[in-house]
Amino acid sequence: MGIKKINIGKNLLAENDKIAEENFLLLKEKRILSFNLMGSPGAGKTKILERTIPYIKKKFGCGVIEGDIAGTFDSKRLEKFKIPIVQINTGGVCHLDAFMIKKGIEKLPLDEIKILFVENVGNLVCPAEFKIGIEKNIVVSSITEGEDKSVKYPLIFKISDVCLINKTDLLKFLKTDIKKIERNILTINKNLKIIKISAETGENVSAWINYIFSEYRKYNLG
Amino acid sequence: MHELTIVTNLIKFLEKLSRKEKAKKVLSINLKINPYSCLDEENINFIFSNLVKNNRLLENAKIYISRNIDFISREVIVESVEMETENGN
Repeated sequence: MGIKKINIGKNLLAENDKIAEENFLLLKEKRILSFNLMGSPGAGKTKILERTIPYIKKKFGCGVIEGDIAGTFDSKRLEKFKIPIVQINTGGVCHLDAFMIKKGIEKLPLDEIKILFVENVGNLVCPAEFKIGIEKNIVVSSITEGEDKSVKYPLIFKISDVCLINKTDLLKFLKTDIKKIERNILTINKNLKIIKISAETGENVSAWINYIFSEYRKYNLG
Repeated sequence: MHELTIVTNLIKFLEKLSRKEKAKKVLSINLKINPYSCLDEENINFIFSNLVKNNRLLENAKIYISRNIDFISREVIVESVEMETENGN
C-alpha cells in the first residue's frame, strides 16, 4: 500500500469550453455578431429585446435563442416580430451551456442573420460560470434590485462587456441611489460600459442600439 | 445547480484516472477556480459525497478548493489528486 499525489492541470469544463469555441468560430465565419443577455429573473431582459428588435430588424436580419427552465412565455412575446426564434428549455438547469447554444444555433437560418441575441436563464450566478461562445456578454441589472448586486454577484459583472441598468423610469418612486449602483459596478469591473435605460418607456434605448450598430461595424472590419 | 455539472465531470475524470493509476482509493482532490466563482467548497463536497455513496473508490475523498487572485479564467482546474495505490508507484 502506498500513497501518491499526482499533478494534473485538467479543466473540468474542457468539453463545454471546446464546444463554446466551436460556436464562436461558426458565428465568426458567418459574420454574425452575438449578444448574451444575462440578469436576474424580472430584470427586463425580454422587455429589452422587445424594445431592441424593431430597430435592428429595419437594418439587419436578427435571430433569438431564448433560454428558460420551462415554458415558452418569452418566445411567445417575441413572435410578433416575425424573426427566427429558438426556445431552449433547460429542464431544471439554471443556465445555458455551450452544447445547448450549439443546438440552438443549428436550428437558426444562419445565412439570414447578422445579429443574434441569446436570452440566458434568469439568474445572476450560474450563467456567468459557463463559456457559451457568444461574442458580447451583457448583464441587465434593474434599479429595483438594489444597489449592491454587483458586489454580491461579482463574476457576472467581471465577465460582462456592458451593463444595462434598466427601469430608470422607476427612479422617481424609489430611494435607490443610481450613482451608488454605478460606483459599485465600476469597483468590480472598471472597464464595464454602463448604459442606463428604461425598456418600459424607451428612454435612452437609442444609446444601447447605437452600441449594437457600432460593435457590428467593428466586428465586420475585424 | 451548476455544481452538479462540475461534480459529475469530476467523478468521470477520477474514475478514469484511478483505472489508469490502479488506485484503490482517492483521498483528496485540489481544485483551482477564479476568486469570483460562486462554487463553494462545502457545497461541492456535499454534492460529491451524495453522488459517491457506496462507491468504495471515491466515498472518502475530500475536495479542496483554492482561489487564486491571479487566476482570471472561468476554467475549473483539477490541480492534483492524492490516491492510495497498491504499492505507491
